[in-house]
Amino acid sequence: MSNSGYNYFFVIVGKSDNPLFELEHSTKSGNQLMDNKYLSQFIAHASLDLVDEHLSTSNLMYLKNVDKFNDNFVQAFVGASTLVRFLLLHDVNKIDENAVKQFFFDIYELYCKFELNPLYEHHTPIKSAVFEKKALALLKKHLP
Amino acid sequence: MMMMDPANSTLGRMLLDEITPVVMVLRTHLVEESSQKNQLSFIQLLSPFCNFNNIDVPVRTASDQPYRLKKFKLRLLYASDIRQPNIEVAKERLNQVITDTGEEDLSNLCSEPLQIEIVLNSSQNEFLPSWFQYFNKELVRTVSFSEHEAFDHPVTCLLAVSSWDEDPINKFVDLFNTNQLPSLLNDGAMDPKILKHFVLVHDGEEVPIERATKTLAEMRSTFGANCCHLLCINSSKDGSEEHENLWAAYKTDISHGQQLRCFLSSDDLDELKKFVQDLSSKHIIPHMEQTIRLLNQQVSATRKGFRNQIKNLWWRKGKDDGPENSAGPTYTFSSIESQIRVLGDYAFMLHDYELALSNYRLLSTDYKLDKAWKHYAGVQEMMGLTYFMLDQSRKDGEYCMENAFTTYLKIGSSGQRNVTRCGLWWVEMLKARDQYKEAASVYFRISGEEPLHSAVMLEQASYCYLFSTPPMLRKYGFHLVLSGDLYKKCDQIKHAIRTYKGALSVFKGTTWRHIRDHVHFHIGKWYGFLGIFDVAIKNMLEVLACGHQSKTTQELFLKDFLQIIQQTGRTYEVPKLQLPVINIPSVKVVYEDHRTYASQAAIHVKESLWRSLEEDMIPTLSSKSNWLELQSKILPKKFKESNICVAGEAIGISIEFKNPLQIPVSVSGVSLICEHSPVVSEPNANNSIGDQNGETSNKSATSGNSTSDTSLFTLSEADVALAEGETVLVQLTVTPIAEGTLKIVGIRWKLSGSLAGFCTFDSDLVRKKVVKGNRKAKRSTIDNLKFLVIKSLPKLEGFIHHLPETVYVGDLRYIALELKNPSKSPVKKLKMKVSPPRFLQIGHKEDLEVQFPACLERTSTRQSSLRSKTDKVSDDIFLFPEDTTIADGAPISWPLWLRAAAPGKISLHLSVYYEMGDISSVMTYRTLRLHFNIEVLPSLDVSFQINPRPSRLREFLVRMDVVNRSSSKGFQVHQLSSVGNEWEISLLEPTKVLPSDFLLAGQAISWFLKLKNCRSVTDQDSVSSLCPPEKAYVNLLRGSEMLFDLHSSPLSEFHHYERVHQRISEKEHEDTVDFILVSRSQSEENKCEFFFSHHICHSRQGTSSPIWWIMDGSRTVKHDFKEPFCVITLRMIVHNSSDDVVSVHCNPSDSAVNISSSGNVSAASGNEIGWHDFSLSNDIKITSDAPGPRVVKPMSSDTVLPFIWSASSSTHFTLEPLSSRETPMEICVFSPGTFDLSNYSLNWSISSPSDKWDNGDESRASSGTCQGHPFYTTVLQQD
Repeated sequence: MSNSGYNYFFVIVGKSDNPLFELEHSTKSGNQLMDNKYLSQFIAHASLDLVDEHLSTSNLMYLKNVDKFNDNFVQAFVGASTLVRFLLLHDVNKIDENAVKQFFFDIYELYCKFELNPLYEHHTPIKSAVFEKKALALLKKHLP
Repeated sequence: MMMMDPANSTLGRMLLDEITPVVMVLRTHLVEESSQKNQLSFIQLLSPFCNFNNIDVPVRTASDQPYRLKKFKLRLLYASDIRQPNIEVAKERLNQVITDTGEEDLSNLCSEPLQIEIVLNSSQNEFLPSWFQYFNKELVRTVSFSEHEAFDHPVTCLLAVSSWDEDPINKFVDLFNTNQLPSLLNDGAMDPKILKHFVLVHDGEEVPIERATKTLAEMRSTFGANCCHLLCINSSKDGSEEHENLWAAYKTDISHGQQLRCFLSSDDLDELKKFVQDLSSKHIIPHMEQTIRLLNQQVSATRKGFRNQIKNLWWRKGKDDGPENSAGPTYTFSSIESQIRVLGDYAFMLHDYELALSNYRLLSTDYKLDKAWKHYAGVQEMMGLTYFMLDQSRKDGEYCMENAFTTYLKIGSSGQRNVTRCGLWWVEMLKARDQYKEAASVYFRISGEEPLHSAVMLEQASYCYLFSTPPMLRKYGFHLVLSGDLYKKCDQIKHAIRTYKGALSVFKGTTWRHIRDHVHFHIGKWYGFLGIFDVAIKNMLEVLACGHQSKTTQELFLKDFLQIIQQTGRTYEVPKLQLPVINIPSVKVVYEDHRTYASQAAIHVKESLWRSLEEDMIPTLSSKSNWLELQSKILPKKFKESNICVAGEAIGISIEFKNPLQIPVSVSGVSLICEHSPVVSEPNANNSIGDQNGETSNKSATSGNSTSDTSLFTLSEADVALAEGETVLVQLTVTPIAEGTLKIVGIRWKLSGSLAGFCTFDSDLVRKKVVKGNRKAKRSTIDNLKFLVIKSLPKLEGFIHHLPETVYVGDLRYIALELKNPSKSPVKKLKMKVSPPRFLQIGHKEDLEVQFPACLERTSTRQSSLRSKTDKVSDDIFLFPEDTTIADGAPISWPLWLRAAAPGKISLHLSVYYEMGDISSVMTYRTLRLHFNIEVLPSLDVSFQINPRPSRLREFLVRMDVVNRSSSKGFQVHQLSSVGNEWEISLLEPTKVLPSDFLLAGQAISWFLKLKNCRSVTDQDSVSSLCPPEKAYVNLLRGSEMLFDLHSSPLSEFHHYERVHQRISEKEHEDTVDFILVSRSQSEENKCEFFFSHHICHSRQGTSSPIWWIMDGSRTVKHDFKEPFCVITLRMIVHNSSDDVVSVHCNPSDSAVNISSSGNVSAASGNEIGWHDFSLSNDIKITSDAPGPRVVKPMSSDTVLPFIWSASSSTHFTLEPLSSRETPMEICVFSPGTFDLSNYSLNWSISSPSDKWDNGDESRASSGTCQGHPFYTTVLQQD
């Protein structure tokens, strides 16, 4: 954390808790992604428990910060069906909630459009390079 | 939330156990010795009696209302133990606890991870490791006897002297020597004036009771009557008393089974019990009551009330100005703060929680103002616990605990252990209220610097997540993994494995690949450390195909995996090894039953193609059935379901191996796993064979090590090196040797030389190669890999000699097919078929000896028509001579002709049918399939343009354009022939030859030729009118007289197929002509000559008119124009070249020639009318009427001057087929000049259409109009 910049790990989770889409991004000068990707996955996976808990009490789509592990925060968003969940793991100390919210809404829109593809079987991993490119662009656009 | 009794909760019991009055014990050696006779320390001796479940003592503290105390406990401790525990020792002890428990569940370690449902349904008690409680208790005890808390401060001092001791009174005095007392008493943390109780321990075995009573009397006089006591022990003489169960809970150093010597009689026990009870109820409790009342009075006096509070605040404020002490201010026992604390703690111990709470509250504000954080935290902690015991205001309780926790954290490392204790109490508090999730997060917060303790805390946190409602399984798994990592850090591998195993039950089958890899890899590695290799390998196998990981991770995984494999010291067998990935749907099976293949290339040709080729040769296919049904007539019924293969002939399997990793992988010893079962002799043994196979396949599926008996079949082995991400197609074979049933079960291979993987072909997955044709669709795929091995049969082998890889278009080659039968048993009745016939022709036996292309040369002796097609059944099946048999490896050759008809990549197929000489064999016939590819390059491109020659009847001008399309090759154009007897061809200019002998690449050249149709002009005998064959040849090469006979075999056959190929419409026109251009070239290397023939068929002229005509007459006429006009007589010869009767109508026109350009139809119709006018109105009118318009028209064409056709010129006649007729024509010329007599037209129509016209041949019209040919006549003035 010495050099300025942040790490992001974004994941879309499907109905059987399976990751549909994963995206890693780092704004650090060295641009070194977190090598321990498994840790990101662990944190994101574990935070699903808290997302479920939030879902029982809230009917908002954007659930704000649901979990925290050491320096990593997990922001969550659920789709209209609540079967698909969007998690953003980041290490930004004071993140702009509005920016995250906007990011999630844009991503959700992107996802919905992708879902309209009749050849895409729902809740299976998304393997589209275009989708990845667009998602990365959104992440860069909204987050520091 | 349901109401609970705080005292019965875990925390409540813990508090009632731990926060109890401490009795400091001082004793002499002899006291200890006496008690050690029972193998118990003095404290242990008393301990069982210190725990009162129902002491039932009335207590009156600050309030006037007494209450009855039920539960009470004394903690007896030696003075030496009343001090802060040594941290290192404590840590050591805790670590030992963990290690010991780790060893215990070694047996569970190898078991499968539990199903998550089982985990969820198991109750907390059976699932939680029992040592957690013990561990937590020990952890809490590491912070006992701290200065800032009063509940660990001794309430009473128990001095014990043995009746043996010399001068017991002095001993009592000596025992309470300040030097040996705990520091708490000495450094002023607590009041050194402590309540003392003196006990004289009388060992009834050794000393007479009299001495003891005497000493007791002395004691009473010295120390006071109330606080002295005599305790008799060991009154039993033989040591056989049994009171085992009493001490069991208090002894840790003696195993349970050991029989104790016990000198304690039941009287002794009663006395002990009474002693302790008296001590509690008569001394300690009253003392505490008294202290509470006293202190309460003081506190009330100094601190309660509005005035005191103001004063206190004022005073505290003043203290702020003093220097800040990092550890906070120190409070001696005499300070009011310490006294309030003692008051609170005593009240707590006497279960007067209200009093305790009010004092703690009072105190906490003081400490807070003083910034004595540790004290403050301690008080907050106690407040929290008091709230809990009161079971009220949960929020406040939690707030206090949180406050205490964070405050302890704030003071840094010195508070760390307090943090732990506070956290543990907090956790228990939350657990008691079912707030498991919060408890888990507290556990998580407790985990601090000490990794081992953190590991235990994290593990406990994970269980909290598990038991929360609803269960938070993902958190459970994650925290188990975190805990496992810490255990591993502290070398507690067994614990690490235990936690990871728990996590596995959560993460089993997860699609979070990095999580899965992490868990499996680490647990596998740790099992490897412990030498439990099978489980280790099982887990490691899960992560082998980790294509998504980075290259370094992949290398690490593979390296560690192979290391474990090496440690096992043997080859490890793994079913369904993931590395390399075997693409089972890619399995292709190639075998030969009655269909045999000469080469690999022939196998890959579509079965349907072979089937259509062999259709007429194979006897079965003539009836409406497939080969299988025929076989079923010959073979027993049971054979029907199996594929048939022949012993000694290899079955080939090709399968894809894919390396998913970014690192190279070497695979060796790849071979098939097969089973062989012998033939069962009973005819209806169908079922038993199936059963047998079922059994054996099960066996081998589990072991993967089916023995390959070399007497039954032989297997091929292959080694493959797979580069990163590479996919390799591996070819394997199995060659059955003995008859029976052979089943291909699977495939095995060795990874990196030490790991044997095998994989069984799940029948449903195997899709068979198209070799099976239609049959495949009908049959279940289950039998696909099951073969019926039949007795060895002869098998023909075939090669083609001199087959070029690339040829140029038109190249005609001689190639030889060689057939060989290596077996003794002969084959006979050979038949052969080739495809496509345009490219490949079967030659004649005598062609074997001939020289090519010399054999094609024209000689006078050879007669082209002599060749008969006697050898052929039909056009395309070739029968070898009847007597042909092949055996013993003796080859026979047969000539074939190859002609490259068209450019491109051309596939050639040959199929040879043969029958077994041995009638008794199961298979009566087989076919040999040969397949070759040749590449045909473009060479000469020949095109013809044919125009009728107007000046001659039935003659054409032919322009032949030859372009060399090849990239480098030069060709020598040798000869052009027209095919058939009715055409005569010759060069227009006989001297025209090429500038050089060769037509080089890219060059083009044109020839002009004359072509004459020799079909009978009249109704003469057609034979006599045929042209001599010589005239059908034109030699285009200078200085060469050699001509090739193009009617000889094989050129005639090839020409036939060319004609068929180039046919434009079904109807053959009579006036089309076929040309064959022969060219030659020489190869650069060996001067070998190549022969090329180019066939251009169905060439014809542009028009479709069946009539030919010529105008004939004198070209120059002299006439004296003193006469009014000159009559010139002409004749027109009209020939009908069609096979039908044609009626011709000749229409002369008075218009100028160039009118015809405005269109045939309008001109003709206009002319017709005009012509009639003219013929009727005759000549006179011409001068008067006609000149006007007529003058204008000739003006446009200068040369034409007026003339008119005379009436007799209009004729109408019919022409018989192939006949000519001469018609006279006449014109009248009025002035000298040159006249173009082309202004007539011939209307023809087919008057007697034959049947073929009705067949819808629209291309040919049944009538038409032809404009006249130019014919010039010059009329001169006669002098």
